[in-house]
Amino acid sequence: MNQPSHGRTTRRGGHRRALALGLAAVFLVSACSTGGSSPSASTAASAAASAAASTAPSTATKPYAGTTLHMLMEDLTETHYIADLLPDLEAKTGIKVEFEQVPYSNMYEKLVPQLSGPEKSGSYDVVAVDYYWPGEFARSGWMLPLDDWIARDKTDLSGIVPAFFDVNGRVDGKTYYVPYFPYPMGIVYRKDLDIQIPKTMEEFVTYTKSLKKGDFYGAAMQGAPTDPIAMEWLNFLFANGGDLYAADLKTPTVNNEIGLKALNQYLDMIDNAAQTGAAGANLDDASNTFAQGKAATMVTYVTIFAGFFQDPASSQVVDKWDVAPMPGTGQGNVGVWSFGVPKSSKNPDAAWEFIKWVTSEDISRQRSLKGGSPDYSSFYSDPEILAKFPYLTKALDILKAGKGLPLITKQQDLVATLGRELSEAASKRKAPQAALDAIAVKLAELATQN
Amino acid sequence: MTSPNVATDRRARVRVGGLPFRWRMLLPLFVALMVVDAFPLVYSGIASLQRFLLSGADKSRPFIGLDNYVTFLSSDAFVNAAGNTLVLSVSVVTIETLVAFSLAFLLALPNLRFRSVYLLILMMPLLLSPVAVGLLWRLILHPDLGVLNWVLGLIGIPKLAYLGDVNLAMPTIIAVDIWHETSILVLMFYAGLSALPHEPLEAAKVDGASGWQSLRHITVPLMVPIIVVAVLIRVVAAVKTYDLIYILTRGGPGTSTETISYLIWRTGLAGPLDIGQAAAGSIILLFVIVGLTVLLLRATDRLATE
Repeated sequence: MNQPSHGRTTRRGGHRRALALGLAAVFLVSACSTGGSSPSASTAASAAASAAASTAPSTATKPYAGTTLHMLMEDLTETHYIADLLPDLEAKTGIKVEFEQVPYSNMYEKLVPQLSGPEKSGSYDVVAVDYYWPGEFARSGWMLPLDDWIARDKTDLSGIVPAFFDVNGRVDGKTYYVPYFPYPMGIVYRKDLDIQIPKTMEEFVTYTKSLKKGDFYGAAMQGAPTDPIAMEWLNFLFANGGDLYAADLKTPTVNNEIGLKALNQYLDMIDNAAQTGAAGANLDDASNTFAQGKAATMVTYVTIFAGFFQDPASSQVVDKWDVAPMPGTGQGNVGVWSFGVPKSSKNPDAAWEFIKWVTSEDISRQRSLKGGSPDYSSFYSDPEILAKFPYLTKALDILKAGKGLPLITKQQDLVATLGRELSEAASKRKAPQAALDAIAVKLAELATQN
Repeated sequence: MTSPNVATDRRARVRVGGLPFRWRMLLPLFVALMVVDAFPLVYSGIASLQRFLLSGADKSRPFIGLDNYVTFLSSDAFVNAAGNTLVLSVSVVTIETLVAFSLAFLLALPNLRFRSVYLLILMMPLLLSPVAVGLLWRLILHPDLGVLNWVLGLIGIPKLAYLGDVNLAMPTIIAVDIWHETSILVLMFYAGLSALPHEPLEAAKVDGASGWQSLRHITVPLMVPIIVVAVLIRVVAAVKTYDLIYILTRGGPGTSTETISYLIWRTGLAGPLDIGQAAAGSIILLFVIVGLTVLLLRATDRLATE
């Protein structure tokens, strides 16, 4: 039975092989095109853009009628608050804004190919920049400095907490970003259960472990690679008095005894205090666990949950939670989102108008009244805002005490490395010291790439 | 006697105007393939030989020979990702082929009732994109809030962290992939089984062959070409698995589920922005897939000659 088909099969074999090879090549194109995305050909163009800006009649009535700005935004409450207020921008300037809202984890990979393209070629006119992107974006020549616009329009940004500009505003002496959304990290805890946050990190770990009973956990944690675990663990490091680098920003200190102590505490909590599967959980998973009333504490972003934990539709803990600083040094990880104008923006002048509008005191205050995270110092003592969100008095202390990431160029790579290696330790694939040593090797390498 | 002349005339007619007609017909396809396939491939090939970092002040892209290949292949991350890719690919292709063939064999049974209902149900996962499948399963598998742990809890099975436990993450991804991808193989095998000639099977029946003997000595050998093509398609897809990993585990816990495609992605777009090394990884993966394709096709030829 095989004989007759032999000749046919082998004859076709050649064609089929050729076809299959072609198919393999086609299938591979997607993988290869990842490597083949357009080269970053943008060269210095800020002078031209600034010149154009200086001639723009920003005082005329609706000078931007018909202009639509496209932006990539993280899908969270702060973005929704801004979206609600956008009709005000259109009424004042004529600018329409379209938000493409995506989960956080998709943002960097969507932004980079756009930002690295030629001038005015990108899909995004304004970019929301997280606190570990500013160095890389600015030093790669992807962003326009805002100083000329600020000077031209005499924009008063002095009300915004000045430290935010150090974290995510100024790079190498120029202002590239205007901060709008700080997210200091500390502890969210259940005040209705009489939880008392201890003074030291050792006590905190022991305490949260003692709170775990059956389906109720001492802590809701986010141990998934890469951003979640990195962001969470930095609080343990800072609260123990540790840091990633020495003051010179060249010598890694992450793998010293303080780093090891911080990691061992973290692993102890993941294993013995946190919810099932915490080593694979992200921020959504952990905050859902807390919102469902299944956890006593959560090391997290203390100012972003007004809309989530206070919403009866998503939360069982409405009015049952409060915030506290990290134990130990009281230092948590402080991030800030800022807005900047990329060189690839098709509408840089309108983009600046949007930034001016969204970070103005009036609009910022309206955002804060909706539950947003305040960017102006005065809002933390504003009676009307505090009446709605009393935890903000504590949040200001957490903000003041905290610290951000070192401003090296390759901050994203730093966080990616941190997340991956910490996750290796959390999943017992690497000993804690070995994971920290691997991080230190990478940090030393990244310090040379500024 | 007349036919050769007719053919010659026709050939003469279509040659008018330069290129032969058949080449002109192929031209649009050729151009499309050049733009869509050849250009990215050549570009990747060139990029793989350069120090090509997307970010940073230094935008120069000097040629550095095979450094990117050496760095990529000698990294611990590659060894880990290659191992994971091998485990994932072998597991899913083997299990999916066996399950799909069994299901297709049952579907092709002559007296089966409600065949179209079974087919419809089996086709449903096929209609979902891998991202939708990943999100769906992430919810189902959520340790605390997912339905799977809840159902298992009803019969006393303790909660498991399917994606957060280093020992469970890879088997879970394999299971989800099987759930998603088996359908396409079922469809191909069912089509193949339905198209098999009846005569050999009837002859075997007359000669007193058992059902198992017919399956072993007639059905399976007749199906070999279809099985090989189906396996080939699945192997190529499995070796490139990326989307499920991206949605379900992000390569974690640690790097325990990181595949080569995922490693290429994170090298190129999620951390170092090292396009040169990512391109080198892509070219290596291309050669692996071409190699697998050749091996499988040789195996087909061998089977056919036996």
